[in-house]
Amino acid sequence: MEKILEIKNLKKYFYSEGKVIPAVDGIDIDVKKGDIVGIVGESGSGKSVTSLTTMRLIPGDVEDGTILFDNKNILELPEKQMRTIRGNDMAMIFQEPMTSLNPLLTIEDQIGEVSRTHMGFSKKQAKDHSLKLLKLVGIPRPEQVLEEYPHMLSGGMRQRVMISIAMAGNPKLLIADEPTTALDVTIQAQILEQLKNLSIEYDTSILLITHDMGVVAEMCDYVYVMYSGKIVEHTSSINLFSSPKHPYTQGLLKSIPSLDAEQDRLYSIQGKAPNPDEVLEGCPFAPRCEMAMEICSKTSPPLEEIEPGHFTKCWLYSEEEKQKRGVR
Amino acid sequence: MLNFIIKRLLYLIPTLLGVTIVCFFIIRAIPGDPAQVIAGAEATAEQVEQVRAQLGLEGTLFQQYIDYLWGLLQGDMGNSLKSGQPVLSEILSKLPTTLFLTGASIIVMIVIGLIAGVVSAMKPNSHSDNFFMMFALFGISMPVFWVGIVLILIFSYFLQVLPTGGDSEFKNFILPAITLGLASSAILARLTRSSMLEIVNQDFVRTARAKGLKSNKIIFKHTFRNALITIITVIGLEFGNLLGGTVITETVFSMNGLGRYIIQAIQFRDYPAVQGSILFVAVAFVLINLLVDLTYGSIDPRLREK
Ligand SMILES: Nc1ncnc2c1ncn2[C@@H]1O[C@H](COP(=O)(O)OP(=O)(O)OP(=O)(O)O)[C@@H](O)[C@H]1O
Ligand SMILES: [Mg+2]
Repeated sequence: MEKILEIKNLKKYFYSEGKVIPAVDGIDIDVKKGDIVGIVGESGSGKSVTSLTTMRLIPGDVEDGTILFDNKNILELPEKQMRTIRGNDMAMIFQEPMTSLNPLLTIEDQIGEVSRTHMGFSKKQAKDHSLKLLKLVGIPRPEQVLEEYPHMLSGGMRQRVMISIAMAGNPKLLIADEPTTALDVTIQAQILEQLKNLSIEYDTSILLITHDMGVVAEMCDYVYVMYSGKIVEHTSSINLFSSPKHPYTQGLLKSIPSLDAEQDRLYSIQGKAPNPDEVLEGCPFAPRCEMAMEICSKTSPPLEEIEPGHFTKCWLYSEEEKQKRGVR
Repeated sequence: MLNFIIKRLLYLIPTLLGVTIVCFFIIRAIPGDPAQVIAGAEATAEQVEQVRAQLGLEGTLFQQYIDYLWGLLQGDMGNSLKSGQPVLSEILSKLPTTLFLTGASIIVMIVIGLIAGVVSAMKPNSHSDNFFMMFALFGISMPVFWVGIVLILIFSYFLQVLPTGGDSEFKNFILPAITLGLASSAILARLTRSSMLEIVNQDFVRTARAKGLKSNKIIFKHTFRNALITIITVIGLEFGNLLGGTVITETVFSMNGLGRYIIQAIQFRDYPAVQGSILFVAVAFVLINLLVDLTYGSIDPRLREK
């Protein structure tokens, strides 16, 4: 199938106080048209930097890489042209519904802005369009909400408004950076359901960023697991949940609370993510890995296809290492 | 809304009552006796007492205050001890000059302050930012009377394009307004810049950028408007400084306004004149504050219901 987004060898570093922070360090991500693709990883793994770089919302150049959106390298586009894509063909919703809306403007204004900017709608047309969008995301009493200000709405309602804003340009790609993390569980499920329906109905691809494996299971066709600025495993959701390969992924899956299994304590991966400015030889996960071998702390493993359609970046699956350990 | 205004205007009563009390007693606490001044240095004690009686300064202070308040309620601020004319009409004749000067300096402050602040915030640490912030540092550091004298030196003495003083024509107000407004414009520029930079980093500005809006929409509609709350607070506060600054500015530029009137009244211990002028200044200050609060509501819907 055709790809809507192709990120190749993307590197985005930050420089602060003489230190280099390789927030995103040479990642490849593909999103096929119509798919919902997840990026999972703990806090600080570089998920938001990846998504903001894709929208070109982070100041400064990238170190390396290309981002093909609809077969155009958007990293080379002049800002003016990028503006016609942003909010239109490629839209984004953020983690913080409480602060992502402008407190001084009506909902009507904030949704309508998109269609007025990108489609040249009049005020009246924009209003009708905004009303349609509010109905689309299932907001009760939409006519009234249009006239209201963000502070009059709950977190869940605000996130629905954010989704309306994102859908206003009928985007080909929707980047959702932890869209439900700040919301309570029931609202979370409703919003995810809504996103899934929109994706199907409007054939919108979604790049869904989350640290919640449960959300991935619910939503995604394909998953990238990110650790410390790198992709450590990627495959279809089905593969990932049936046979996770990377010890980090396995740890993430074990830490999902389950209802049926008898659990005394919730599992959590030992240790904590490395400081982003630490220079680590070898695999960045090695210090926390229960299966770490000698080589792991010396050389970083390559990202390899170890089963058809299943890629991981781990020495456990390298032929040489398997032989050494006598695994076959 | 109307309720709010009425309530605030009612608050005006205790505020002004307080102002009259403080002002009445403080001016009398300053050493110096107007009766003595008027009667002259060689006057006998009897003559001085006679003058005091004429001026209505007999009896206990409390009795005098009650008389003064009673007069005020009837719209009578008393007569100037110096000229014998009604204080109210003297103040009203000086007021236009001061209002015009304050108004002009507010315009100077807003125009220079906002332009410098917004331009600086658009490209922090650029050359234009450095230039404006350097200017702001100067503006804040230089005393008003010194700025006035330097401006007179440049524009009146060397270039000879503007008058050194007076208040009869529009061009008389140019140098005083710049003199008075400069420091405030510097403060406003700095605060505009810092609040713009703070707002630019807010999530909703990121949302605005993610919508693909043009940069002037992002700067003015989304950022500046939110910064306005701070900006208006600063303007309101600076209004007080400007009003106070008229005293110096009017003296430097020999303008016949309320500021200079107050100075002369204090020097002469002209009690009714001092009390009357300060009452006017207090009313102006309270009204401006009310205006500022009303403006908040019109900008920020979150403040509207209260
Ligand atoms: N503007 C910046 N300047 C310097 N460092 C940054 C900047 N933005 C992000 N980083 C660093 O890059 C790393 C990746 O951050 P990022 O926000 O992408 O993590 P994340 O995976 O989205 O985490 P979370 O789940 O907490 O949202 C972090 O270590 C962060 O400190
Ligand atoms: Mg994040």
